[in-house]
Amino acid sequence: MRINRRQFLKGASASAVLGSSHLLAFAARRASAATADGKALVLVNLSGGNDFLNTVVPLDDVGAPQRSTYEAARPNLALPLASFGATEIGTDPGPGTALALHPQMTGLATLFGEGKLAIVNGVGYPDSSLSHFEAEAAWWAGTPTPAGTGWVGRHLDAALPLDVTHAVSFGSEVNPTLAALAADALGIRSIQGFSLPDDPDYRDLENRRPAWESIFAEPRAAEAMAARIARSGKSFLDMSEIFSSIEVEGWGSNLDGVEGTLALDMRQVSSILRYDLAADPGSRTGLSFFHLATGGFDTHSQQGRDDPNAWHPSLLRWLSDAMTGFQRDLEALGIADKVATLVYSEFGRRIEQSDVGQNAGTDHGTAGCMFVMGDPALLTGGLYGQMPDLSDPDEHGNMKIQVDFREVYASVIQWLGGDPNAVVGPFAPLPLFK
Amino acid sequence: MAATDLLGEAGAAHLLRRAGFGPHPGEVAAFAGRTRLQAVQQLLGTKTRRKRPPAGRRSDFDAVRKMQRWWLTQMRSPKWRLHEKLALFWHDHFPSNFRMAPDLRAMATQNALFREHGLGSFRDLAYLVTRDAAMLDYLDGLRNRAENPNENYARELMELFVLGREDLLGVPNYTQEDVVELARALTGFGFVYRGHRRTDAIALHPEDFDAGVKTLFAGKPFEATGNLGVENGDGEPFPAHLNVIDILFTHTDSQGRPTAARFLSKKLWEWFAHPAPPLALVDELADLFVASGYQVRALVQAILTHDAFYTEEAMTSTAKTPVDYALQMIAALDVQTKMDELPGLLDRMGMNLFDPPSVNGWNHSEAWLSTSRYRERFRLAQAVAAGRSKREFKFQPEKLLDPTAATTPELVDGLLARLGVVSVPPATRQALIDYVDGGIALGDEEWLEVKFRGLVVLILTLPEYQVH
Repeated sequence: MRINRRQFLKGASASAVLGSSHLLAFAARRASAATADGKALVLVNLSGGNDFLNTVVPLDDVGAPQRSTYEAARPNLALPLASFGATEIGTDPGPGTALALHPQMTGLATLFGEGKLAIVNGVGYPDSSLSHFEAEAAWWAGTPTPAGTGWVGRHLDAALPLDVTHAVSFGSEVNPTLAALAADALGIRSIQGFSLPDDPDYRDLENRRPAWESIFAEPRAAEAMAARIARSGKSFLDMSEIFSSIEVEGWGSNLDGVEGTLALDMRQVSSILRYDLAADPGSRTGLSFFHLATGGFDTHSQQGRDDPNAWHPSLLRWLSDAMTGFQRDLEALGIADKVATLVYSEFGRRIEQSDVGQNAGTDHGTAGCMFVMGDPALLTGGLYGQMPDLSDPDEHGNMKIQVDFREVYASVIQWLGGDPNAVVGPFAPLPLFK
Repeated sequence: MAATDLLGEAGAAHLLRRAGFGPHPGEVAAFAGRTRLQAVQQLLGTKTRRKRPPAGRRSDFDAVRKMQRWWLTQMRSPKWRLHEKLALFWHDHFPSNFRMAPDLRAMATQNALFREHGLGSFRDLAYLVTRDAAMLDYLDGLRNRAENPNENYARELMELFVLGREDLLGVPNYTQEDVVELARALTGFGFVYRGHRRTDAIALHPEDFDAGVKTLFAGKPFEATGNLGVENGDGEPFPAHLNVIDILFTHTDSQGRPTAARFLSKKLWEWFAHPAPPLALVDELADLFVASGYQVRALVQAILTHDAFYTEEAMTSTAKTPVDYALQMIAALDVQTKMDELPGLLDRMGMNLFDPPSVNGWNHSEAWLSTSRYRERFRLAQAVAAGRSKREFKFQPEKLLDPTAATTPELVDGLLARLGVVSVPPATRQALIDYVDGGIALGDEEWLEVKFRGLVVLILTLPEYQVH
């Protein structure tokens, strides 16, 4: 993917040559550019295509034969009615079918009861691709046609057009959702692991930093690969100073000890938000857009049903526990009214199971769900969209789309104070945000 | 004729970076006086490489690291470097993952397949991978049976391995019906059992194969219908008109061009030269590829002798993979290493061999240089430049010091050239000179131990050193 940066570089050439005092200038610009209202957006990508039909499950046949079709299509995967007690979440706004979250998702069921979770059912896009890569590209770009930027990146270009990024991707690659024209998002594995590595020949290390600062600040031909790499180097040097002051462990996060790598990443987000609350303006990270990914959802076989230790149930428990702990952190920090968390996956899976017995799994599908988590101060929790009629699938046995994912993105952009039409096109926002 | 042009020093260095893992000391001068064709034919050789990594039933971390060290050592072989570069390409193109393989022996078998057939026929490779144990397990081919077909491998075989989801004009190459039909044709492969014991061999089990009529590419001029499959229960191949591997190679795109030839020509060009080649160049290569009977050797030779391969764009537009980055510096600096540390450092830089991140292999280009991965390159550069132990890295600065360099600018320029950096912008060059001249006053010996190693680190972390 090539990103045209000429337009940006033309406007910002003055800030590109910063020389030795650039760290100070950097801090000043960062502070002045932080989102005025302090809002932050956290995106969680369930990579591989989550089986949403075993995540938000039909319990009866009210309004449509959802439960009976589900049981018939999934003899080895259908979750038994007796397993749900604690995770029922009400009735589908469409047919009125009773729904429940997977029994491993007790944390999210509790948040749902507190009005802090919205579930949009039947989400996808017309003629959606069953290919991971095409579908991912569509969700990341915010359009099914190649865009060269991500939907969050376009919002950032419009709202915060500076060469200082406010976006960070956890996991070592930068997710294309954050790709902007103006500023490259950070990609980090861990805050603690972001310092300049120790050098066995430490004696001269302090003399290398000014050399690196000059090297990475020097302007290069805008389209050259080396120019993009220099920007990445500059971000690394700048942020490594700030990140060394962020406390990740030992401050009492609700995510301490929670199972799974998503919980570790979400604790890093809490830690950054907590740090910025207390830091003076010149040394804030200014990060307010976070992308997290958690993999393993491509459950073609051996998916598992309700055994807590089976594959898919484990993934869902880790997701639920990580999100719950994160929301509790936001509440403890007093910023729950400013942070929204959005969960998405490239597609849902086939209604009918593939293979049988222990091997049962599901092939690629179409419609899925999106979760939006946030305090009732910003979000109207509840069920949105509707579960597609399982007895009336498309010609490939997949669910028919009920809600376009861009309607949800438009809602988020509107909440952020941006222009939904400019970012995702003419899609009407849903009444998710207050 | 371009192929008879002399390489020259820049051309030789570029060829040895891209067709191998960077020039060893003295090699640039040795190759500079050869023609492109002579040099490429020497690298291609005439022999087939048969060698498999050490692997047993254990699939633990140490066993994987052992296989990785073995492969990295093979890559350093001057004789077989191009074969190993192709093996790495195929590992990225037809990825499987040790975490999902039946055991490490299956990964070793697949790796040996890429080494032996990497320069052979693309069609044969597609066939061999289709009945390869590691791939069958990775993409659920072992669970694709007549009664319960599984689309996973069929979809990726078309989308990522042979055709591409769309052609070069953005027109879809196949439909969901084609995925379903191809999956049916690929049913029935599984392990051979001796009694209750699983062997390492793969065979077609006729009872699990869907022998019904299938139709692939319905409505297209190259539509195929009948009892489509790959081989029968005796391991004999289906005739070409019923063999889905052959049928994939009859596919033509929306312009009537051979889809698989265009698909692989473009991808292999990008692997060796630069991103986004013009369509005319892709077609020139694709025609030659078809005419050769899909021989990868012919395609590679055409790429590596092409005028467009020796342009500045080809020398500066590709982000080095971590493996290229590491092995190039090890070669250029004449570093001795038993590879104890390198696999772990490559893992941190995003390239754990036998563990590609997805069925699409590794993400290339700027994905290699995210902030966190760039940081890990600082770590490797510092570990190598400071290395004083053969197990990890041993670098002796005096081997590289040019006694004729009288001034700091001469020293800096000489080292940049030695490390193959084509050019750096002026303030960057000045920053290197200032680093050498500034800071602490040191005696000669200490200067070499501190400043010279430091200068090497700065060059290895330059943006310009990350590209080739």
